[in-house]
Amino acid sequence: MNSKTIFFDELCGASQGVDVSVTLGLLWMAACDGSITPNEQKKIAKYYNSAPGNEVFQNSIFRKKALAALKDEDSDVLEKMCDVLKKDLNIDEQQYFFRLLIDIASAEDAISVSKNYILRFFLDLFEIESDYLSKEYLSVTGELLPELGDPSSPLWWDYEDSVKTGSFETMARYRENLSEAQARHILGLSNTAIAKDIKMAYRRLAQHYHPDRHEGLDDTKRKKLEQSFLLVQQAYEVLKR
Amino acid sequence: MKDLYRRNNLESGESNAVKIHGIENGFEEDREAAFSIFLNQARKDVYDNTHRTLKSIGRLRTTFNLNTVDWKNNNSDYVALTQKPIIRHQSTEKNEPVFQNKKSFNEGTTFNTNKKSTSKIKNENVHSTFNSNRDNSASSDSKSQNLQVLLQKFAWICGVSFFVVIVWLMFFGRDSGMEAEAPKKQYKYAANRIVNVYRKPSLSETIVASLKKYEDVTVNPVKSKGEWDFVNIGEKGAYVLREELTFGSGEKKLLEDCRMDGVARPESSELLLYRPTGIHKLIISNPPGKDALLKMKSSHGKTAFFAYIRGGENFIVENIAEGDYYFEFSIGDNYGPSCGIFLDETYVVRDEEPKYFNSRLDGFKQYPKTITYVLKSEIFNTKRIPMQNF
Repeated sequence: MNSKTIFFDELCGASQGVDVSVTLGLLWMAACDGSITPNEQKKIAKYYNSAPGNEVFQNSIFRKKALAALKDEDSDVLEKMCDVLKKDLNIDEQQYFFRLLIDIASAEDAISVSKNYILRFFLDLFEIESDYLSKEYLSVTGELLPELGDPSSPLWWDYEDSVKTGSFETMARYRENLSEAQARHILGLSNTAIAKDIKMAYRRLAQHYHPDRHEGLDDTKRKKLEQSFLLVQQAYEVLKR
Repeated sequence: MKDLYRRNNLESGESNAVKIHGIENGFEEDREAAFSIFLNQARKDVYDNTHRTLKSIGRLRTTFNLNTVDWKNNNSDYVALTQKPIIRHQSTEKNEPVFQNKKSFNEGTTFNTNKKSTSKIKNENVHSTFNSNRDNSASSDSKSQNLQVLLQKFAWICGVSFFVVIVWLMFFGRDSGMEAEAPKKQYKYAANRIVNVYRKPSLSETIVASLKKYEDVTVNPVKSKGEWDFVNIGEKGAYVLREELTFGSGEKKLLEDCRMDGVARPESSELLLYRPTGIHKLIISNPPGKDALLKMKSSHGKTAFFAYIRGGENFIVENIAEGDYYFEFSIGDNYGPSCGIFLDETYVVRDEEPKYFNSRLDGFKQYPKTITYVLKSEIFNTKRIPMQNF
């Protein structure tokens, strides 16, 4: 047993196992991209200001140790945290914790791939239906949950760069010159996917991105949504040929 | 997402020159990706963070049995191989935290631990009530003394009767067949080629696992229902049709069945199973002594080849396909060809550390890799496995 596990046990033994785990979960979400941004700090502080009885987060030594454990990918600490969260929280509490995570994940403009993965992990850990994530993400942030990206793929980076530059012309060019491999990646399909898989993936994504399904969005968000929808359509056209 | 570090034998802190060298010698299919990501600091930062998070999530998903097909398909590099048991942190009743939830997100929901303080207040109230009664009532002392005497008598009677019951059971209980006996676990094995394991005792329920023929299971008769045996598989246990299990040891039965078909001693050059599809080479060396069997399996558990190597002989396998492989080998006497195992003095081990067959390219030519493997049970990462799983 290493020193970090002992520190977790010490704090849990002091009757705060759930608080320690909740705080660790929030810190994991905030720090998974390397550092905690001011916006994320504000979101966490906002929650803890509304919970003044909670002494765990106020403890600066705990915060330092927790961040060090998360940085070192200490699997013992993470396993214990997940075990407590899974077994000691009831369904309502798990859903509330999940909303907190979404709130922190969406503190910056775009949700990172790591955060997206952590959200999906907790969704599976708490055995919550998969629809819940996209619905809650929309209700908490007012935006659509992005599909999982693949930072090990140059294709994904090409698309990300064209989105970041923001010019819809660039995106349109990207769309027109879509290769079969890129189209497969956009629809989240492997090389072995058959016609039925392609159709199902297209229908799922088209429903997800269809502008008519999301009323009340402002102009910029609506345009982004339309671009995503067009990209999905184009990917389907490429694979249908 | 792919683990580009592992695929290119790189560490995250290495210099660009080392990285370029590693990438050039790594998998061809990942070369473009590795160059475009590792040599671009902004992309590398994002990749490193995701890589770190996925490593943690991969381990956690394995620990909590969350490795769904989708996850395995998309992140096969991040699926942990071994499953660690979960040790739940211990919290006493006094210290048990209470998680109070207020449903609305904007109402300032808290995760407070109030149970301790509540119980304290309750105890204080009890004490004060008890004290005030004693002060106010003069006859309460004599009443409590009577109560104490009664309790002592009651405890004495209970003790004597308990002793009498124990003595009676010791002398007469066994003969009269009334011995209080806890239901014992039953040891059975799978009698058919593939036996399905169901989540609940019904054929329409989800199949959670399958047993190979001769695989041993422990049955809990208390939880067994009707025609279904409850077996300890996974965290919660599952059900198997009773007619598909037989009492006894699967290993013994396997050896008995195999012995009926006779024994043989193949030559070292005899490959018992072989799927040649690549360019790599493996040299197997069996130290003098007993004969050995070697199986090379892919990470999905599919056998790439199966060979018999006599003691003190070497053997070369060529045309091995690119990829990661695990070695399982068995050493013993009297090879049973019908079952592919040794029938006497046998033990089977698995090398937990995979061997990588990856080719090196210099722009003109592809160089195959050659690995020499010595069959020794004392190899650092070997782990003994049941004979039926070989």
